Amino acid sequence: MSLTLPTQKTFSFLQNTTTLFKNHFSTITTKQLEELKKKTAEEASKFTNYNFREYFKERTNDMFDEFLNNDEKSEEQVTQFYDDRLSEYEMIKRQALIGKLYPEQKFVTEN
Amino acid sequence: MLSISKIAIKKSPLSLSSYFSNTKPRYKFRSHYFDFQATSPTDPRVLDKMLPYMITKQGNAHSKTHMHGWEAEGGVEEARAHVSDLIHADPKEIIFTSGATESNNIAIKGVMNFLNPMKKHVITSQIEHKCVLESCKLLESKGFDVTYLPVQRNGIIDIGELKKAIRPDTGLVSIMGVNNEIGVLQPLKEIGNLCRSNKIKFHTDCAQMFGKLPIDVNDMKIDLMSISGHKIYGPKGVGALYVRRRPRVRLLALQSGGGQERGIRSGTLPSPIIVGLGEAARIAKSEMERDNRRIKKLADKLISQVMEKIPLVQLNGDKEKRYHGCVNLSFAFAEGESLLMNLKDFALSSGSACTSASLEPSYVLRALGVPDEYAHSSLRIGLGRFTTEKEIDFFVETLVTSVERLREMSPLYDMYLEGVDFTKINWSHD
Repeated sequence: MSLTLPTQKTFSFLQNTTTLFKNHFSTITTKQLEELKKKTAEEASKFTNYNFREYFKERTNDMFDEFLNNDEKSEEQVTQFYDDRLSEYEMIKRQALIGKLYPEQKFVTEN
Repeated sequence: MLSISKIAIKKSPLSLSSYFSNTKPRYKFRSHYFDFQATSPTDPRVLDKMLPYMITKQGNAHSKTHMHGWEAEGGVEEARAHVSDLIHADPKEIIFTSGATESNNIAIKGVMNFLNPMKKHVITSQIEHKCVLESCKLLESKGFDVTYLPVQRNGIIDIGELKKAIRPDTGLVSIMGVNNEIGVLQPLKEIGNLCRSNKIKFHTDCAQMFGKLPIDVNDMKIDLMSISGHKIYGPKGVGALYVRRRPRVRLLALQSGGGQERGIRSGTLPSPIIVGLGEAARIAKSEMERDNRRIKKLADKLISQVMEKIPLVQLNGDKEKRYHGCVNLSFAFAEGESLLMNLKDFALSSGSACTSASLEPSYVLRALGVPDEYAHSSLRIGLGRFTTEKEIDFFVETLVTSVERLREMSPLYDMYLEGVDFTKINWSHD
């Protein structure tokens, strides 16, 4: 029985997610927040339900824009915000997948 | 021979699948949802919170001896805290039920059965939900007196009328927070103060208000409050009843059993859907301001565009004291059911009770004094968290076209344009 060694291709799905971990040891940078915003919006676009898709896309942008434009934020608040948004990102991934498992009819405007 | 028998089997009236199969859609496309007062879609965040309690954490919340029970109990208690936090109550004052209908039944029948025979009078309004009115009717048949307060033209209770209706033997006042048909907001604080000063229990059906508008049970002096899960993007089949502990509200339970929920509502707690209700309450608290801002903007856009493009449109209920997500519009010379049939790309509700096989107009609109011809041509448009601006634009465009088309076909509208006075016409033929 021959074993196939893991190649770069096997782990390619991890490349874009290595920075999205709960981080309590160093300051969360603006770049990390923006990356999380982009990833969350991408996952939100995968909802098959039009209303959920539009809601979560708009909400993600609103929440991140409001937080990033707020200059008076402590390190603790930034960490808490990042952790909350990360949990939300994981939730959106799961729920978008569940939505795909139960497909529904489209709206007349979507056709 | 084989082909004939196949045809016979397909068209057989005794085939169960032909009776119960709903898999084939009647219409090719899904309709845009504008019926948030009937129910709301379960928020994905709520479903995400519920799923573990349906898959792994499936224990009975009352099992005290193992971790399955402790896990379920933990979820239930967390949900209780979220629900109570939203209304500034104590978690011990929340009783989980199967919905607002059960909560209303327990509150009204439970309190009056306890106070019987010292207190025999109940005051409610003419625009309450059917479950409140039916509970009051049942109490009437058992020898209680019920006063059904009329409402003003804008749908709001007159506090003066309520004061006059109070008697020495009044035990309970039941007035809903936000009406499910017209969306008007009642003055709960004034009613609460009046009831507290007269030592009368105050129950309010807040199924349409909980999680949408701010409620403080201590400020409003509410003694009992009904809550519904599926109106706040939670699961169907769960609700809650707030029962004040200080000063204590005592009531007789309707359902006997193991004494769960302080003996008020026995039965195993459905932990997955209770967890869903708790999560929906938590989300409602954090998103209330944002949701209300969006919904008000969408409702204002809808009403202003419709009124600008179509003449003879009436908004039923007070313009300011309302929950903006419930818009009840009446269109003269365009029948409600015909309008609904033209708007098949939208899920809406009409003002009349045609769906219940009676052609009577809605009792709520009748209580407001809306004339029958307007009551029959009313639409209830519900806006919610997930409604988008594009849907509103598409709806307004379709609605305007439909109303114009129906009015073109209406001989009464032609007579109106010619200036005929309808009050002077003798419609009967002798």
